[in-house]
Amino acid sequence: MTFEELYNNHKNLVFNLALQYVQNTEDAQEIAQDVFVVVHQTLASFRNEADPKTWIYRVTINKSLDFIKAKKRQKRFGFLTSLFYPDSNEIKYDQKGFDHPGIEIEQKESLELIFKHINNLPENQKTALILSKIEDKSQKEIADIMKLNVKAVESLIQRAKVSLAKNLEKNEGK
Amino acid sequence: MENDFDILKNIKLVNAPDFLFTRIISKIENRLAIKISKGAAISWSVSLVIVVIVNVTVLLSQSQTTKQETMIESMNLLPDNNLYE
Repeated sequence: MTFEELYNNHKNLVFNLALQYVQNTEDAQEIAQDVFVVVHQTLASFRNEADPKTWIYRVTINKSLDFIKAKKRQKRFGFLTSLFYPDSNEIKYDQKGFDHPGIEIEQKESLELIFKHINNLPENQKTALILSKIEDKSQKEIADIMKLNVKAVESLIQRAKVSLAKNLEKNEGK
Repeated sequence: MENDFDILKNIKLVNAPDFLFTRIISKIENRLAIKISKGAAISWSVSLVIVVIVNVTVLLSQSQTTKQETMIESMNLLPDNNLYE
């Protein structure tokens, strides 16, 4: 399989999965670029795999989580810089808002709230929830992608649901 | 509780933008160029270090010989083991 074929077969998968993590078109494009650069670099080892989908899922998840971590670091650094150099305009955290092209306007507000809470979940709970509830993957598939057993995936999804429901309830109470 | 999550199923799949492939290719090419220039820089610096080491070694060995010769000359000694000229 050539790089172009791999790209054409998986571009939407990568772009949409990245979107579920960052909920922003520009950021998702950046993640997708990074994912395919990695795919290109490891193309030789990749050719032997019968179905590269699971591997691409893994790369996308890792790149998305790395991207979010880098953004958080950038945010902290920007805050520190603003403390020491209040007039400095050079380093500023580039805050991008909620801009998910797959969400219709009528549902934007409620989904933005749910994503706000999903984003606060621990990384593995967030991944399990996204794969299960948005990507519609079975627990077996999630277990393969996350290199876990099915029981662990089940527990992750359950814990994610409970804490999400709690936070949503709290939010409704406010 | 499940109802809260059902709304997540309404998220639609979107197509990746067409320009993404061009951007990826240019990113890959940039990385290759950086890799090549890094390789060239490393080989240049290694060869420079080797040249400097060779120069220093040659200079040091020459200066040692000169010192030895100067001392022998000053003491009117012969540089070999012959007692008489």
